[in-house]
Amino acid sequence: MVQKQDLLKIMLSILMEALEDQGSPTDGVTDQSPLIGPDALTTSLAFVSIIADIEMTLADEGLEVTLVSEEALSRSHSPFRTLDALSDYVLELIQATDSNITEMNSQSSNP
Amino acid sequence: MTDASGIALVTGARRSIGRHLAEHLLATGYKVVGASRQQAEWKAEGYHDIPTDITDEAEVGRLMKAVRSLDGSIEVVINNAAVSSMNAALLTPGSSVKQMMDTNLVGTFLVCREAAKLMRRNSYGRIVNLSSVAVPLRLQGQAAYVASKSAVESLTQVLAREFYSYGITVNALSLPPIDTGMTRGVPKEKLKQLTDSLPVDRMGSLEDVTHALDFLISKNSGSITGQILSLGGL
Repeated sequence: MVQKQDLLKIMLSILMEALEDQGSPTDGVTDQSPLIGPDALTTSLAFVSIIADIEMTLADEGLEVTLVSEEALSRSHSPFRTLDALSDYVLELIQATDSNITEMNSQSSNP
Repeated sequence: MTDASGIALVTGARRSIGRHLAEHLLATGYKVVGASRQQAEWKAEGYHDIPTDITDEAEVGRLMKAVRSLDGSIEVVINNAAVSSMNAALLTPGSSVKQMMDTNLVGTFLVCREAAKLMRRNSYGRIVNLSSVAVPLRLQGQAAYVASKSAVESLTQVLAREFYSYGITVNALSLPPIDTGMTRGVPKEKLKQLTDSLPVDRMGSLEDVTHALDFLISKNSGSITGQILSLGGL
């Protein structure tokens, strides 16, 4: 089972790279730094790239998740507001996928 | 001349134009992944058949996972899978409209989106969405099909803008009637009426399609994006 700290490490590295690409300072950036809203660290284009890079990097690790969904976008507290919130959301998606697989396995083993 | 090296994905490659395009891309040197709802009835070296319902987001995700597992990177996507139905608007069921929108528009969108996520890693990609001369002709009897392909053309032009900074071009190829299974059910006089209304007043050939495709997917076509290339002379 993937740990939150591992996710944060991956995500922080992707965020830092995106900030460097857009020529923004990376000093003081943490998992609590805002990703969206008026104080967002990144441009909207860079934000799109970050989300796509996170999805692809997780897929390389064998974690197939789609981060953007109607459900995610309609939450009153956006899971995209910080890396900390996003990592919690990814863990939630992974757990949901795992429990779906467990449920499917138990259904297929029932007579 | 060929500058092929990577993977090409063709939706609807099971038969007809899709199969022809897949075979052409194989001959050009690409590894080809074919994605149709049902298993293809043909095989070839370098061809990987991955049955996929492109209207299903999870299935498209699985398709891309399979593409990632192959050696090489995805360079070309041909969104060919489509459904059409000829019927007067007054007699067209809503379910037919939804089916056409799902396959022709939503399916194309999902494949473009997921393929672009992979392509942007190599800062290179060529996406070609197939459209139809039925769009500029405002073809009567094909309201839903024309609406869905109009949407594909608009999608193409917006994605061209969004994806250009990733090194990905997105174009549409607008086809006249081609002598394939899809047109064999259409009465000959209807087809003649249609081709007579085109500046290029004949049925298109599969060679016409591959010639235009080669231009759009060429590595030298990096500045050709957001274009609707019509083979009917429109």
